Amino acid sequence: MSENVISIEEGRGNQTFVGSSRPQVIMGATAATLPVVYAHVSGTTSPESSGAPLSLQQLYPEQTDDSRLLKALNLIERARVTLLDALNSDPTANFLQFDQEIMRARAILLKAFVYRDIGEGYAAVVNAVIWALANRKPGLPSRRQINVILTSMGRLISGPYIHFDTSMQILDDLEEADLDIEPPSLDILIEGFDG
Amino acid sequence: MADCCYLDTTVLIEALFKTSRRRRKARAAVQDFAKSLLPVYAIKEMSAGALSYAVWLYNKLSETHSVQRTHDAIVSNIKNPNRVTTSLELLGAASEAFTGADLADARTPAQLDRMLAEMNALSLRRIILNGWRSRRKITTDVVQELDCFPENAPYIDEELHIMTVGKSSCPSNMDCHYASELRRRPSDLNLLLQVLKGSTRREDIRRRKALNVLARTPKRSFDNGNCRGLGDAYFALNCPKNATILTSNQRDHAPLAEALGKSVTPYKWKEE
Repeated sequence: MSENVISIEEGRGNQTFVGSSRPQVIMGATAATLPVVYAHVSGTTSPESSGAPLSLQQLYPEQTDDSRLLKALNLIERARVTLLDALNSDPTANFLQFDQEIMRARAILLKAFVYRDIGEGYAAVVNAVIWALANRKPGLPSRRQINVILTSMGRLISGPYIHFDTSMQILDDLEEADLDIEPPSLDILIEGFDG
Repeated sequence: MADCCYLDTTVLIEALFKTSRRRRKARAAVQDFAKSLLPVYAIKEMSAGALSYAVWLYNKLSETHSVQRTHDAIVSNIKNPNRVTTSLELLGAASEAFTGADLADARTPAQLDRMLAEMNALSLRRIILNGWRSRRKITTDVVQELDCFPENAPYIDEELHIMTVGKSSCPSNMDCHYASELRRRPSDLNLLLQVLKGSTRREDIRRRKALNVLARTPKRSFDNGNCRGLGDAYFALNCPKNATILTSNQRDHAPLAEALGKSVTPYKWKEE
């Protein structure tokens, strides 16, 4: 059996640790509590064939030297982490801290919108999340809504060059979570065709 | 209340091309009925009206890169002047809510306006494309297909970066698909002509002309212009007896529907 395959019988106990030449066998309850550090094993399969996610460099070899993309993704990741912090705080116990995180996430996303030339799909998703946060009702977004937003941002991080049509499904998911993803000024402009 | 509604164009527009709150409300109103019918005529009216406006609005936002200038264009070309002040104030408030934020590279009012225009355009593009895709999914049934109506989708011209509405008018010089059936109902046509008698409103004059073509000159072809002119009368004539016309324009629909023994259910997106 390959050294980097977890045995069904032994669980993680047969994993090779960094700096070790052979598998460590950990017995009993300790095995479940120790952090797992995966070893680099030479001659094993490539990340692609092993199912590991591709890096941006692998996905977009000609475009990832674009510093704007990296800045944008950095901002999306910052906003994502901020929303995770919001998710971990309890708005009923400490509303100010919770809302502070939401405001911070929105401010970061406004900066991320500056890089909208990355693509229409990217711009559409960032725009929708900005307005979802801006239009939030008191005490919201809920945990479920934050999770939907986090999923949408995860989609951007794993593939920022999404087509506008692809982004529409992400936007539908946001709207299905009862998030209001449109700018209020659009209501006024659309009134122009009220009968 | 009837358990079947027959959608008119105003409610279809509410359900497809307004902002999310209004779309949801209109769809919920339709779902209150066990059965709902959408005549393809409503899609035709919507294509020539609200969809064309929404596409124009999208292109105007993209062209001017300014919410303010787009609004000015609406005011000078389309809107009722007495609404202008109110909407200007609302637009100012909606933009002001946004300016409190730290907008990286949008530090001047002009930059902010540009950013807002792009945000509005992105949201509107989704409303338009989603609205078109959902047009036949709002009701339980789509009825009274129009063979002569080319149901063309709006699309983005990638080269010019302009959104275009596909051709929505029927081929000229052709007798309309439904005209021959309506010509066999002279008494209904005359009842509607009685309702419209003496009205000087532009749409009533057009409607009267279209009804006259059907009732008095049966050999003359009923073309695309007449078809468009029929408007609300189409719904009164074609709504099934067991259904009610669901509309936000009760004032125009009710007299026509009642003349033919049919009912109207008013829809209001805003509570009075």
